[in-house]
Amino acid sequence: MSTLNRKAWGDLTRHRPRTLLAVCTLSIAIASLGFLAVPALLNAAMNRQIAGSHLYDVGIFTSTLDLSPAQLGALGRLPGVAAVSPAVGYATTAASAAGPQDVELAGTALASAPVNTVALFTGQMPGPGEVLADAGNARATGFAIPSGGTIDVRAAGGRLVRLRVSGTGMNLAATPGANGSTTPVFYAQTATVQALRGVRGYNYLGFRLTHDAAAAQSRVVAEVRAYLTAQTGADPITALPAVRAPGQWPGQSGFNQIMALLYIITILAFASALFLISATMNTLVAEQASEIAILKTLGGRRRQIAGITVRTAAMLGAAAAVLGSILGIAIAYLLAGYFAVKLIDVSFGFAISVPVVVASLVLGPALAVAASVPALRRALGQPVAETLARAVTSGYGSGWLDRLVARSGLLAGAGVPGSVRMGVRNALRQKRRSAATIAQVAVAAGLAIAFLALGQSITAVISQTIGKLHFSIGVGVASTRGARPFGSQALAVAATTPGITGAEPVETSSVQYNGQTYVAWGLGAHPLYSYRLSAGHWFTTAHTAADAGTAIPPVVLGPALARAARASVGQILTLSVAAGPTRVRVIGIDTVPTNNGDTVYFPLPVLERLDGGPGTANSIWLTTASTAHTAIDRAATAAANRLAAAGYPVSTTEIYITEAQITAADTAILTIVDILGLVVVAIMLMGLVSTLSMGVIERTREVGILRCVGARARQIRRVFSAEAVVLAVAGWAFGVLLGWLIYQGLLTLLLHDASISLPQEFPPVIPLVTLAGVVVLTVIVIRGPLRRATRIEPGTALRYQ
Amino acid sequence: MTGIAAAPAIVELAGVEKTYRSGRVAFRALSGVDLSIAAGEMVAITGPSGSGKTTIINLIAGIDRPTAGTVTVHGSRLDQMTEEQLAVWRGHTIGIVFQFFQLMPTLTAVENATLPLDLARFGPVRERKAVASRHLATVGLGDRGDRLPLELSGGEQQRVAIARAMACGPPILLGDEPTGNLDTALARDMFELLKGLNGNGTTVVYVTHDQALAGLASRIVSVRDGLIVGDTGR
Ligand SMILES: Nc1ncnc2c1ncn2[C@@H]1O[C@H](COP(=O)(O)OP(=O)(O)O)[C@@H](O)[C@H]1O
Ligand SMILES: [Mg+2]
Repeated sequence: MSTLNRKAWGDLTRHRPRTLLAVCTLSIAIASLGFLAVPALLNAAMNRQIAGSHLYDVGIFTSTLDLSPAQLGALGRLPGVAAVSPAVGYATTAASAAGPQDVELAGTALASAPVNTVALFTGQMPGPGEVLADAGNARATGFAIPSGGTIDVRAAGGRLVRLRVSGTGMNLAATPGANGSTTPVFYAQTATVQALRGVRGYNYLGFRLTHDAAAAQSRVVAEVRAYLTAQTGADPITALPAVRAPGQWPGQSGFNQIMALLYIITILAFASALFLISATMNTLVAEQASEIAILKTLGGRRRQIAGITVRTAAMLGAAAAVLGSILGIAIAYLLAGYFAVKLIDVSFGFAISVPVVVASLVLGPALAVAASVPALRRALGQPVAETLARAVTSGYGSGWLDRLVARSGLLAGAGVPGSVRMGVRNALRQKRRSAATIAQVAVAAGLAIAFLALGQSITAVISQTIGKLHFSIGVGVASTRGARPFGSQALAVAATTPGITGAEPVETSSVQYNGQTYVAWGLGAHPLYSYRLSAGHWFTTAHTAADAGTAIPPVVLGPALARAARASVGQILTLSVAAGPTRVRVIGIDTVPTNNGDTVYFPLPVLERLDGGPGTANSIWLTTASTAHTAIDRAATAAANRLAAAGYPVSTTEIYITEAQITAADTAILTIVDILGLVVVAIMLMGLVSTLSMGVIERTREVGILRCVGARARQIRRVFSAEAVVLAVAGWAFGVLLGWLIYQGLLTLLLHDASISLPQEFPPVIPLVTLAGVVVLTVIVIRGPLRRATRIEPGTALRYQ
Repeated sequence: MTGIAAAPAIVELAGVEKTYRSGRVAFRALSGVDLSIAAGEMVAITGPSGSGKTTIINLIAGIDRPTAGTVTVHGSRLDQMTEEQLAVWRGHTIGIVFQFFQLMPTLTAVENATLPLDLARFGPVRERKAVASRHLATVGLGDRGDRLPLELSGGEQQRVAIARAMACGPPILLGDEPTGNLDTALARDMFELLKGLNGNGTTVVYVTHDQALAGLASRIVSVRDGLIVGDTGR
């Protein structure tokens, strides 16, 4: 059998460039499996991180409670509670060169907290008068202060207090990026934050449970509520408790959205690579047709002959599997690390997903062998004499399509150069290979089209949501002690600030429905928000009158919530608010995807009452005279200062900054997706180069004849570039269809998996831009094969066998 | 015959040597060939297999280059021209017919016959097909123009190859065993075609194994082991 092995090896080494091309292609296909390891790697790393930081199972926000060690001990011994850790949060502003900057300070037991332990990354844990900067501040908020630097934080009394930054660290429960916040976070000793707030006590309790399940979580919340109410005489729970589902981590939902896209890309990349593999193996086997015929005349049995090819394929596959696995491990490591830093601001070490690596190593040879089987069957089925006779001429003209194209007069016009005509028809010669190339181009172009359209949808949704907000500045109550809700006096102060043209009181909080948390907005009858209802109507002035006494209050639902609740106008829903369950009547359904469509709109007085009492709006929306950013900044600062002076410490949000942040976040996701899409494009280009190179190699003799009958280098190039362009444009045409389908799939997927509803955006410019891209890339990558074709010398070519 | 010999030489091989190199092995295919062919001659080259006949034809066609010596054809020094210049020059000057026909498999008969006209941008675009069709009719294939090579018999394919060689009306027509793959009757027909072209002034040089076919030429050059060992025209 050794000669058979030798022949298998010889078949690989005979056409080294082509073997290399096949191995590279196959290895890229295998490497794309590395994507599949990313979720596992990231989950494992995050679970280590969660275990290390003792992340909360239940987090309860309270009014300021000065809990004694004995009371904390009692909380820790409540049934189902494994550990409790109190913290004090303080939202204020810091003075910075760019004006006042909102910041959040968290006073905790830091490294020794049994729940929500703060991990130290660089520098030292903060001592008195010091803070530790969250590692996510720089990326998520753009507010980075180096270790050894200082920040000047406004204390409750209004005075600025200078704090030294002792280092960087992180607590997964608070870190801004992963939690979807854009406010920088600093950790400090409890006493430091209490001193700034000007009051003793805590406003947050983090719990870990002995048995973390949904039922246990609500039981613990009830137990804690009962205990604290008994101790303090009132229910101190001010907001919906934060519960973390088992195995969940902050930032996971954003990550899951990207993963959905990643899986789609993996599947398409792999499909595209499969086409290429089968085309490559097909060519390798087809080339052997005459040798197979000779082996048969020498008495070779089908099994023996097939054995040679299978061995060749397995060797090729094994080489590709090793190369591809190494590449895949690198891709998975880099991607997982990149996502960890980009989405959660956590970095972690090198790891390997063993199942994915094993699958990659096994799949390489298996795929290569499987891909060569159809061609092998065909070659073995050919009669010997026919195969040997055919070695001289190509099979063109044996199919109806060939004859149709030749006779139809298509491209037969006198104006079409013969070289172009030949190129176009050459594309029909190796139909399988051409089809594979077209499929690869289609997948790549389709992905490009789908993602470009998705980008358009996201841009459109940003303008559709932010564009519906007709104010420039949002003012919120600072979470300092003594901060009062906004009554008519605060409104008047804000409205009379220079540069401000109007002020509207708004209540913002959250509600739960069916275990999910939704945003609640309390608005007036004519808000600075332009709703676009698909059913029902908006609140009337009667609904929003301060003394509106409806037993069941009216609400308008955002589109995602309406879909989730299958709600219709007139329906009664039971929502949970901080105070407990309450019934509401749906009077309208909105189509604007504000907060991803997860918004419940209440009449302002209703939400105020549910959140604590009338005239207690916690936000003010301000309109400005000018839309210039500097004017808006100036007006925001002026309003904040005047409100603070009037006894209303506030934080402000400029809408243009929010818009920029959302756009940046979406762009980041699309960039990641685009980078991954490049892998598919790389496979496509490889396919084009491979198809054309093999065409050139096979047609060496024909090129020689063309040279004999007077063809210039330019004319030879035109034959092959016509073929490539025909394949590329045909691929693009299928790609438009495929792209539209992928795009629809993405929209559906985002709607189902992430409840993100995006508008349909498929302008013709997207396919046209893609066409231009496909043609330009094609023209660039075929330069190599073209050069090879023109270098063929007629004398050698005509003797080429 | 002597009258023709007095005409100026259209092909002039002087001291031509050709050594093929494949890897470490060097093979001397021609070792000092001098050959002068006058315009309007019809020359047959004969000799055993491997003696260097194809090499001589390829040198005249500018398909191969000599290792030493000079090749002058139709006033051009082929050994001094670039590959690109040679291609253009061939388009106007040379028609070649090969043993295995070597038609473009994706082009129909008439397209194959038009190809050199397109490549050389010979005459007005609209008339090229008519010219090619006329050539096809000359070789007796007027009704088969829209067939692909695979749909034609060997004899028909070779006639298309001759029509293609005639396309631009070249002054020189070369044939490398042009009838090697045809039966005797078809081979005779083919030679009638070549003789007709020669009668119209085309210089014809062809390789053949067949003594009878060689006898149809006005001059027979015999090659053996890379040397000219006999020449009836001298
Ligand atoms: N590309 C090549 N490399 C090496 N040897 C060659 C090459 N082409 C031809 N030869 C050798 O040169 C000799 C002459 O070849 P050729 O001119 O084709 O002979 P003929 O046409 O008379 O049969 C032969 O022995 C042949 O093997
Ligand atoms: Mg020969």
